[in-house]
Amino acid sequence: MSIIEIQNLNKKFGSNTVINDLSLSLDAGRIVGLLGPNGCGKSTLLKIMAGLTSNYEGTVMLDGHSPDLHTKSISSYLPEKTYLSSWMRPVDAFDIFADFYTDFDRAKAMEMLKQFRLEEKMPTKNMSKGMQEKLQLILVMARKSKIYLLDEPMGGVDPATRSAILDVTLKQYSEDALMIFATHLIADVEKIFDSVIFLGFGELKLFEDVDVIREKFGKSVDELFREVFACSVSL
Amino acid sequence: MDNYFDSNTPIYLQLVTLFTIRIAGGEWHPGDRVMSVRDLAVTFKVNPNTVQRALAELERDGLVYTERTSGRFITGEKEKILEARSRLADQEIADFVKQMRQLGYSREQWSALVEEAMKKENI
Amino acid sequence: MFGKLVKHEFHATARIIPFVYLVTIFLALVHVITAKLNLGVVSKISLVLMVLMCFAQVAIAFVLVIWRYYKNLYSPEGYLTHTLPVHPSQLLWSKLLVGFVWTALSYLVGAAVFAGVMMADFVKSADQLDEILKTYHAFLAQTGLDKYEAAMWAFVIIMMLLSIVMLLTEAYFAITVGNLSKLHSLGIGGPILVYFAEYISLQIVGTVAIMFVPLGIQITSSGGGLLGFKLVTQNMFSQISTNFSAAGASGAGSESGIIGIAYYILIPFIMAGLLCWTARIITRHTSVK
Repeated sequence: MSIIEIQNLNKKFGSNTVINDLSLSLDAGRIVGLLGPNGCGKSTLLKIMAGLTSNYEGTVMLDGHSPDLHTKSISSYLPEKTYLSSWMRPVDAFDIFADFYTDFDRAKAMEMLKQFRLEEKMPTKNMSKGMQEKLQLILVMARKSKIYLLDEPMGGVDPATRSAILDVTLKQYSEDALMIFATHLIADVEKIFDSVIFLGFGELKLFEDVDVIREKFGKSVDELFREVFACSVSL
Repeated sequence: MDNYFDSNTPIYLQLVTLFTIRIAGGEWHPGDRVMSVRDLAVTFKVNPNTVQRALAELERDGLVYTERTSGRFITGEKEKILEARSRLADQEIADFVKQMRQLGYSREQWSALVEEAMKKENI
Repeated sequence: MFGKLVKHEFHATARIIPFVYLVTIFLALVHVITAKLNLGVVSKISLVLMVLMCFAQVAIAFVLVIWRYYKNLYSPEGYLTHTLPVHPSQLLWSKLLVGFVWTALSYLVGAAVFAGVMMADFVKSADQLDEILKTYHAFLAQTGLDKYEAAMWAFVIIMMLLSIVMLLTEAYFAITVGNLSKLHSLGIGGPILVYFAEYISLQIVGTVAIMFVPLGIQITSSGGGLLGFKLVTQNMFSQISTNFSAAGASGAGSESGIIGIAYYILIPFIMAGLLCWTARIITRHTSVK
């Protein structure tokens, strides 16, 4: 049973087509990589699914609903940007999440806070970018959601943290949940994906299982990606 | 740890090899319970479904078995383990020979090298 | 969910606004104490500053409230706000409620501090207070307004509260419309542009309504400063033109003028319309940058 169903999605910003006739069907119990050059529609696709961008053509269904109150309560979105107010401390953010999301596990969040060595009473404005990203990751992963939408969760962090983020993602895996992981750091990450989506200039170039790609093409996803997108870039 | 995997073989097959090595070498003892899928996934930094697939292969090979109520275990059958070990050893040797040939050594040359190496250090 | 939104809205805005009140109160105390200690200059300066603060705190509260609206919905904070599992229109209503409370409170605190200082400075006994109240009642009786005392105060208070809500409505509308994706390229210019357009439109509507809609209060003055009030279905414009042409023709006696009140009746409807429109845009045209 697919938990995300997208049909003929079209999204323009002004005269610029950012997503072009995209159709996709994603099942729960999978970790899916969303790969593509920067500015090719990955973030926009995630924002549409998260309910942050309306005004699109086509259908987008999460757990049988168009993005609405229900889909927001069952999906966890991690944007690239920092969305916490500068005065907010981890405890303040936890207060908000605990109030609005029934699937938020405060104890787990506190544990992850210790694991990442963050202080619970430090305001965001005193945190480095890496610390802010870790905090936002904690907020997402402390929820037991059905859908996880992660936009470049490893951008701008050191290799040790990247490794920790992958661990957290794998530990978070559940048969009932779908995790979509948008990234351009493919080589580090491809082993954790069941399947990958290649999104090139808003179009679906490929949607395939990682091991099938290796069997069929004899290449890793990273190598295939470079091939597929090298051509488009050199245009 | 991350450098275990090569890039053009399916990951589940590489996991099968890695798990078999551990069983054949005794690192995972006969009769032991197999680590949970989640723990294996985190340890090897791979997708849990891929781990599942690899374990299914091991079951087919008879190196691992599932007890309905208690979980997955390494086989206690010594023959199966020895069989797997010699399979792996044959593969290693074949790979070694292929490498040597690629370097331009004939059979006499590389076997002489091996004998020398065995005399030199405690290998 | 609405209650939680309100709670967190207060929590976020209570970090600054109450401290502004403390400044005003502090200045009031400085004034009163230095007056008693006969430190004339300091006392006068602190009084001036305090009065300024009483006005300023309303402006400060208002600015902070609309800044919060913009920041929480349309800056990167919007990524959190718009993914909360609430109906988008509730975001508007919760911010309107909290914004109203802070602005109204600022008026109240300002008025209370001012009244308190006036009492401390000028009213030295209960008799003086009586005197002041007597003068007030006499004035009302003289102008004939005493019949309408309750209505008058109700009108003043309601108008003040409505004007707060109206100001917030206008600002929220401008910010929301100004942040539609088509206007993203204008940046901060978007909301400013929309606000100008909105302001001008409302001024035009207001002037037309006051001048030309036939609903007004005719005020006639007979001798002795007594004023009579009557609800009429005439428009203000006609009265003004009649007065011009009749200037000099009618001698002493009654003069009358009409204040058009259609706009004041329209305001709640205009406000409701703008708010519903804003709620609709937030719900249907979310586009966080």
